[in-house]
Amino acid sequence: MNLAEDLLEQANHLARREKGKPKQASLRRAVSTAYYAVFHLLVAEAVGNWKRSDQRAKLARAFEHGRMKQASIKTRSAKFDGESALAVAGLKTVANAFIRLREFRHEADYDDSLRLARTDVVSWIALASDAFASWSAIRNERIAQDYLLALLIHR
Amino acid sequence: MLTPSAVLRESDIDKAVQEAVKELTPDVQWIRHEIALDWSGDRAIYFRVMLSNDASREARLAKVTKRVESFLSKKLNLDESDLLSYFRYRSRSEQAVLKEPAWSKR
Repeated sequence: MNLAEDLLEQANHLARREKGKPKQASLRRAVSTAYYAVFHLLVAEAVGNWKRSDQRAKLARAFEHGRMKQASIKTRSAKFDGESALAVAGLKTVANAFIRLREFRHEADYDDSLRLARTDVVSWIALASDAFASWSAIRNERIAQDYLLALLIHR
Repeated sequence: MLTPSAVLRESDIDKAVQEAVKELTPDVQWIRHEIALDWSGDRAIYFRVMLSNDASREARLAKVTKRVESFLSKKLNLDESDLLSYFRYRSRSEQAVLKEPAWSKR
């Protein structure tokens, strides 16, 4: 498995680590890990387009979370006239998952007053799983490749 | 709390939420919403969805949450709204343990 898949597996593990009453630390780390699973999935896909493999790690560091969110917001409301409805739905699933997981990750990492329930966390990890599945189905579509570029250069 | 957007009116949101609860009962016990700025300052609508214990079982949870989000997204055209949308879920038994005021039934 690659890093993104490993992170998604780890998020699932953390969410279910305690069988009875889950520890808040486990749930918080699960949310954060699910976000980073999607983040690394998209960055890896984007830099994978760069021909020189020895430069990809450096390119990956150019991705900014805020810029990726803004590109995802634009994608979520875009019309994509003439494109396959399935591809558009899949891309919007990915964009929405990125937006939502980024928000939940901020809360999980920085909001001391937050009290998470396992239901919340499992439903958010499902967003990440859906994003992985949708991305796998659309990754070669032009609009998906345009999205990867927008994640890097969106203004 | 912020005011609803020009696109989404409070009355439309209330109506859609009531219809969602009616459509999805008994899995969905109630839905509450709040419009606020999200962590990075974008306007957003947060939905708190209280689920039955049965609906929050892992075997059913994903299907139920997709129905909730699909219903409200279509009714309110959320993807084209200027508000970002965030959904939070909790079961009755979880709330009995966590006892958070924000999740108490009014």
